[in-house]
Amino acid sequence: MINVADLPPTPERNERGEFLVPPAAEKRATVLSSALEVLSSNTRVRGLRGESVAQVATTEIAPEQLEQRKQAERSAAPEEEIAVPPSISSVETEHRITTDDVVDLAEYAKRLAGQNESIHPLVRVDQPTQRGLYDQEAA
Amino acid sequence: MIRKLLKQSVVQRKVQRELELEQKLLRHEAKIGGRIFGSTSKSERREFFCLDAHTWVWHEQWVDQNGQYQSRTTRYEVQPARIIKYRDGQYDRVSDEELRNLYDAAQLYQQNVYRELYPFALQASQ
Repeated sequence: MINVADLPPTPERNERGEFLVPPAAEKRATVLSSALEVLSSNTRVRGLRGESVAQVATTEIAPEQLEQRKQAERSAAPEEEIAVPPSISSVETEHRITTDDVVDLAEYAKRLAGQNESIHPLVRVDQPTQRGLYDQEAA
Repeated sequence: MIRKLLKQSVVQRKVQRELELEQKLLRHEAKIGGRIFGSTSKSERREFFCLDAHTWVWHEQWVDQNGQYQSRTTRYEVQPARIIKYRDGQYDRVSDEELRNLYDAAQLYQQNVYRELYPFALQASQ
């Protein structure tokens, strides 16, 4: 005999009998879409994905915004101090890190090479869309 | 009074259910995300997921040569003009190449997650 409690909950439907999307799923889909947008805008600012900052400016960004972005880009130069974002500093003791704190990439690559390769899929995979996040550094 | 309490309890239960569902969805997304980098052995666990609109997480667990469980979490904090990586207690810049790869991975993640979990979002974007 089937216990009613074992049955999965019946998805809610609207008046037309269509299944309703749970708010949690809708929320996650929206979050994901925003996250990709933020990431996409970041890659454009850095002039990646085959678009120069100037090209982006003619199509999407007002001149004053472009200037702001250029300044932000300049401020992200490796020689300069990196500000710890608030969301991170709230977890850790608040401090600012300098270039001295940044991991030496050669040392980092050596460390990666010395570890089990399967631990680092982003280094190992070689398909264009799945290439290692760190293979440039490792090289 | 009793009716009011009952209504309150129903609302609380609904909110709780939504929170639990969100956690389950996130866990499932993490598994889907882990698969985009290829297969893992039985002793490994890999997760890659979007925590919120500004954070991407890559988590690995494995058993080392001494049979000890090891894990490593890398967190990418995305800001409008820069990305900062947090790993092993250190903050680091993200190179152009790494950012490009992260973006590719995120795109693939979105495609797979939408297809498997949120087809309604695919329909909406078409």
